[in-house]
Amino acid sequence: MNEIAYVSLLVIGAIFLLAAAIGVVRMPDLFTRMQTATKAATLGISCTLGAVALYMEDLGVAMRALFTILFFFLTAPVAAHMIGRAAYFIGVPLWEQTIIDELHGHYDRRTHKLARPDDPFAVLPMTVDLRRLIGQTVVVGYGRVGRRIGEALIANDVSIVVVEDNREIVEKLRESDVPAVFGNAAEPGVLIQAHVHKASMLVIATPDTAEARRMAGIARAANPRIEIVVRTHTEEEAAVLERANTGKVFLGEHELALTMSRYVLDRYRGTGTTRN
Amino acid sequence: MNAAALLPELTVTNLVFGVLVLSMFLSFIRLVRGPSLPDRVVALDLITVQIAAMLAVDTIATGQPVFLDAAIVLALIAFLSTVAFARYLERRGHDE
Repeated sequence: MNEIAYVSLLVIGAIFLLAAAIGVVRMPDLFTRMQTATKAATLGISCTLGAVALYMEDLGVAMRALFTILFFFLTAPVAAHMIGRAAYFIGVPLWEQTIIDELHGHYDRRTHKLARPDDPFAVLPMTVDLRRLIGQTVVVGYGRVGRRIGEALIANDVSIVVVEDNREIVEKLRESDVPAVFGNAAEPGVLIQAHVHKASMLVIATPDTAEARRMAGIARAANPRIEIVVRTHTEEEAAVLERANTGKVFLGEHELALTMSRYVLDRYRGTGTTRN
Repeated sequence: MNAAALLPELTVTNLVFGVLVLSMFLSFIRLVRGPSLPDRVVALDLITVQIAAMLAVDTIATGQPVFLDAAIVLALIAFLSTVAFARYLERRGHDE
């Protein structure tokens, strides 16, 4: 009886450990690999140690084996979580067929803290003048491109609301009396916080095309008459956006070439000579 | 004990050893391939667990519990090194 018990536990343990190894080789990305490597391996080693506990007559040895099992159960989840979290933050790519990344946008990039659901930066404060929230321009992204657009609009007295997933930038904007919402605009609810349903224009200054399409979809659903201006960096993406009728598409290199050639032409017309 | 009485233990343990060596080989493939550092950490963690399993199976094969303490120490080291790697990676902020 005892023999059947420990032999079967041994075999089950070996099978699960093999499954863990196969999983770690075959799974498509780090997170799925980690899932098999921790779950299956912990079960495998637990069955193996359980077999040892059953086989050895000595109570002391059996207790040691059981304590080792307990140790694995306590430490494996902690280690897996830490590695998974670190990997997510350093940008290890998810499997390309991932449908949804639920964590995206919820973590503050710098402090790695989860944004609280009642995050004050995720909603506009009550003090913002409501007149600035009708017919405004929503600017998504206040990075290298968004900032310049935002500053130009502010300088020309266009009321804007900025959506940014960097808390420091949101903080600074609010200090300089620019309404700003913290969050990822590609997520439902964030653009609504920026009052996109009352806005006249949406400027998408973030480089990711897939996210831009999602943002455009959300904005159009909330406000069918809104005008959308979107940034992109490759011709294929520009074609995709234009086919989907996303809005006015601005291709980075195209605009750069346009501005540079305009400058060169102006120089020729201005001086009438190539040498000066 | 004579060899005949030991037979069931030896056959099963040899089989399990074989399976564990195969598992180690597969994990080693992931360790070499990567492509990211966390992949390698996960593979190494798995290899350590497989070594601990081999130590446990050895306890059954030989009947001597000497290596069981080594198994728990290995588990501890694997856990601590994984945690250390994770903290290092998160601080550094980029891959490789």
